[in-house]
Amino acid sequence: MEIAVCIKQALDVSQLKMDPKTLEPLIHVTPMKMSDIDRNALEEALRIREKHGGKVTAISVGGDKAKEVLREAIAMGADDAIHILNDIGEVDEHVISEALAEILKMKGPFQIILCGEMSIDKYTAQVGVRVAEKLGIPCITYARSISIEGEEVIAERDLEDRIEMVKAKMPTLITVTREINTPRLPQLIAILRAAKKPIETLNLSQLKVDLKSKLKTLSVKGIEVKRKGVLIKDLPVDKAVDELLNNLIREGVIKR
Amino acid sequence: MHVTIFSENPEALIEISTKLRETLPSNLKIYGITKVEVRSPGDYGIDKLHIIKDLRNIYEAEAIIEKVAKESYSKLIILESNKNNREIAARIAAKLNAGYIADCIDLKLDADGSIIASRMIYASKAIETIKSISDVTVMTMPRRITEPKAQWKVGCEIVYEDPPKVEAKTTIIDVKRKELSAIPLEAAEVIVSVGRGFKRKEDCKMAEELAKILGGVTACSRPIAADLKWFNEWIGLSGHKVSPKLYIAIGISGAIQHLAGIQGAKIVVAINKDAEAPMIKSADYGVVADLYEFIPKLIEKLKSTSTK
Ligand SMILES: Cc1cc2nc3c(=O)[nH]c(=O)nc-3n(C[C@H](O)[C@H](O)[C@H](O)COP(=O)(O)OP(=O)(O)OC[C@H]3O[C@@H](n4cnc5c(N)ncnc54)[C@H](O)[C@@H]3O)c2cc1C
Ligand SMILES: Nc1ncnc2c1ncn2[C@@H]1O[C@H](COP(=O)(O)O)[C@@H](O)[C@H]1O
Repeated sequence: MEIAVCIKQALDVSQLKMDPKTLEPLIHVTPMKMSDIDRNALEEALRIREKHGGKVTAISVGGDKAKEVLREAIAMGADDAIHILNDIGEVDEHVISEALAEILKMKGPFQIILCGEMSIDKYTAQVGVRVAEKLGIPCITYARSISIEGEEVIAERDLEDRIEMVKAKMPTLITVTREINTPRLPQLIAILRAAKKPIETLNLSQLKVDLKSKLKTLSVKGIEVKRKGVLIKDLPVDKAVDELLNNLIREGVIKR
Repeated sequence: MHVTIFSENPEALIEISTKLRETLPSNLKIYGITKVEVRSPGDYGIDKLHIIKDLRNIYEAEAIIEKVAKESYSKLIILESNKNNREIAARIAAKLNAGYIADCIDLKLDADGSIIASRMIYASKAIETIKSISDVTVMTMPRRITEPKAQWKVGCEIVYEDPPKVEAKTTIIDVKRKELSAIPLEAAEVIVSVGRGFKRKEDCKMAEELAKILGGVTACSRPIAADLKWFNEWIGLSGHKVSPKLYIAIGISGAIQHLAGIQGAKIVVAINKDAEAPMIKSADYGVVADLYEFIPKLIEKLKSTSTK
């Protein structure tokens, strides 16, 4: 079974700070990491390989540093990694999808392609679906479990008000949720070995696809939610309860 | 400008059409697509409404949206934001080589006539403003971005259609319904929210009792619903975004993805035994206490004051 996983190097948003004066997000000093849900996608790929055999290829579009997440993918157990080096500058999801689809065609055929349900910084939930469409294959979104039976994939889709069990003929692209598994931690020796492994790199500008973005970011502004930050601590429970209730009554959010 | 909008839910449809009438120029023509009757759609600014009563799946929805958008020369296609519609929107965008702006919360036209939209990014820590340089732009829009207003009185033509015949690439083999909150969480005035600080499902009864006394509802963090399945609906970036008068987070650590769902809350209370938990720091009132001691006492006090 040939399996591909699309992995994004995303901004670690939990560490993102704003400039206190301008509210400009301080993106350049914020660390990057493997988008959380893509780690689940990779874990699922490894589990499918462990059960059905085959090979796992990790692919990422990004700047030079995106190699780091591919090294991490190899350390977790991916067999191969392909880096599409973004040598163009800011591109939108349309261009990223075009590039991923092109590489998947070039290096394929893959029976299963896995993505995260959405990336943790941009959260648009579109790249996986777009890639499937470009490849002309079925797409199953929001999968919280996957099983393979013969030529078919069966997955449970986690929707707002229901769980849908769906099936599709392979090749299929599947986007997964966080709940599908708990990703393994790479072992030290694997990390060391991955550091030495060469990673195949292609330049984005060299791909014969539509490289013109359809969307352009004009600005990004931080939002400040001001909370009062009143601490109620080191009080006997009785007193702490009174303290809270008095405050909530004063705020007018609970009735006397 | 011509716009095609789709939602199975008429409430969402008239919210989106209201938003468009409020923000875009008057030479607007709105083509709506939905599943059920809409009361006086023209009053909400919808010029033509396609009603497809037995729309069966996402592939049929996609086909009808594409057809209406094409026939009406729509430059903008907007779907109500939910999981299935986000998939449909992305696929339509891929087919048209178009830009897709997910979860757009505001929009306007630039001087040159192109669409400018904003959306939350970085776990709702920031707002991104995007300009579309796409021939056609696809969008999804969440609920409650505006109040529906019946004030436009355009004459609306209504057509009933059968769903288009299309081949589905995936087949649904089983559906399990989730049990949802009686009132939508978005409309709740008081929410008592449960996190992994609760050790057992039975312990959540405390939270339910507290919610009842306060005239509110219960909700939870994502792992309580998605992993443990004690509840069905969670609050946060990937769940409900709520704006109650009072939000009480009990045994919730306050991960950024959780906080992203409660930005609209008036007063936030955190109860956590860890003074360093981000939830305590992001609250109006942060109570550092063991929930197993604090909540029963809180309930007891509230009961005794309300019967006084
Ligand atoms: C892409 C993405 C999307 C996500 N979307 C969401 C989302 O929409 N909503 C969401 O909630 N999460 C979301 N998450 C998950 C989120 O990152 C956190 O993992 C989750 O919110 C943690 O849940 P928790 O606070 O209940 O559990 P924990 O983080 O385990 O926190 C439990 C807390 O309980 C406290 N506690 C323990 N015992 C007691 C006690 N006896 N008394 C008082 N306090 C106690 C602890 O001090 C701790 O702070 C998302 C994650 C990702 C990556
Ligand atoms: N630059 C990228 N490189 C590789 N995969 C990506 C990239 N961007 C997005 N993806 C994949 O698409 C999924 C959805 O991303 P998004 O559409 O940005 O929310 C991610 O979870 C990844 O699996």
